[in-house]
Amino acid sequence: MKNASFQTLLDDLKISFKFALKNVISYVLAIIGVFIVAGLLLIIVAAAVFIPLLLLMGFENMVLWFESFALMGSAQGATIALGIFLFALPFVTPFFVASGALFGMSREIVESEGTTAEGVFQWFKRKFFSLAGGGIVMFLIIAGPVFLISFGAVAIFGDQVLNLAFVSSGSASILSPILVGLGVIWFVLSSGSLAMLFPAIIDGHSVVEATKRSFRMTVDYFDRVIGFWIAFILLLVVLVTPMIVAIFAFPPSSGIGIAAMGIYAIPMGIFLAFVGLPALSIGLTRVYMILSADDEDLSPDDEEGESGSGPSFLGGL
Amino acid sequence: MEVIEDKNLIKLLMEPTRAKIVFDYLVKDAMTVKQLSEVTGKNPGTILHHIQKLKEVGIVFEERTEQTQTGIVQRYYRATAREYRMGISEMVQATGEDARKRLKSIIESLSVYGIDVPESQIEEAVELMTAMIGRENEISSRNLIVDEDSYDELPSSIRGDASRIMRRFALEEDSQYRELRENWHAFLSLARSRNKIGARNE
Repeated sequence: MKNASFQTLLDDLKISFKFALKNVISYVLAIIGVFIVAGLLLIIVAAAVFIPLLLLMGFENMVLWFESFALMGSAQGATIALGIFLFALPFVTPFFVASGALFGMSREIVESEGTTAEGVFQWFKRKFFSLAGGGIVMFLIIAGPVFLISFGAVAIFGDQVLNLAFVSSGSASILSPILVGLGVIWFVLSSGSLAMLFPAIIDGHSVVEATKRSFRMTVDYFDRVIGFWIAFILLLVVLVTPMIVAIFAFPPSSGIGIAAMGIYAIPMGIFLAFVGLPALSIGLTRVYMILSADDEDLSPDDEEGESGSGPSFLGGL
Repeated sequence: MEVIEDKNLIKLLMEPTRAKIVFDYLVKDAMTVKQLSEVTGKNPGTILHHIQKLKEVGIVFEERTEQTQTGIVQRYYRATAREYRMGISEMVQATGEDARKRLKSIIESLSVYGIDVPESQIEEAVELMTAMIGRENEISSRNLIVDEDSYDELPSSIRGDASRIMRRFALEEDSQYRELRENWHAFLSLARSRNKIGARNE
């Protein structure tokens, strides 16, 4: 049963959370461990970026150089946006790998009902470059067009358009909701289309093949893939909404407001990190495995043989 | 039967867990990661990594997928052939001294049958064995079946016995193999008679 119905979506969600809760200890340990490793990698990336800059420019010049970005202000919004876009890529990559490695654990659960916390490091190590590549592809496909459109708008209308688009001021109060709406639709569809990327990489496909496979599966089984993805986003919205309501009901400046936020936000954050994220990866992996089953005729021709023999070094001697 | 001649593939299969997965289990039947994990005593993650490696090189394929009541999605993996043999010369090339050491150990172990090959003749014995096994693999890898459909319908035990009989028959028909086998047997006979004379003199 590859296509979705409301019941299928409910089952997908139920099974995902059931497995995530069943393996919660492994996931807690794995997430803490793998994100510490990702953090350490980030420090290494930062050192690789900043130490040469420091040596080339000197500390004071480097500080001035970074300050010059702030001075550019909105007048050169596009330049800053491009800078952030390209600069952010190496820094976010270790976190993509860490998240991708969780899909490896999920694969173990979906396929054999069991995993171990240390398993995540095996996936982290074995699939590092594929997952990093997948993360970069995901980042470029989801965020790339947003930046391209921004540049196009800047080229046509000037830098001021970015202020109108991203900052709700003046006439932007009319423009922003449309852009925000389009942005949300773009995010849901583009990220949804790439939802099968990490499961496909974990399944042994190259980054290019996994990307193609993810898009193809989304087209062929749009209801199942996007349905599960939207269901998860809605779940996230439902969980976050009380916090937004609380912000308006009890302004954070008041003590009660901060306490109310903390009481709800901290357990919710923990739940999302250690149950929600694993459940998402389990759900997507499961959907991938169901959809990719019997995709191709993989059976080779039967060959001559006999049963019950091992690798014969000595032939029939 | 498939003769594995790719050096990298041979190296890959020299890993004991992978060898066990393929040669002890997946040549016989399709199994899931969970089942393999249970029979080998390794954790599912390790098995999954090995399966993926084996899939990449084409030794293993996904036969079918089944969903269970609990919600897991089991994939059944199977070896692409029912029997494999390592190409002897490629194995020597791939594993270097390891394969020769193994052959030497086999020859030395013949002493339990009263065939004590002297150290000076071990190399000669290794050469004779290598040539004979190489030829045997070459002949055994030929497809002798003329009616594939009927063959597929045979029970696996009958299929195995029939296959063995026909491979032996094909070997006996090959003059080059017969010559190599005779040389090897002559070598063994000589070694055994030398041992008997030595034992009588003592």
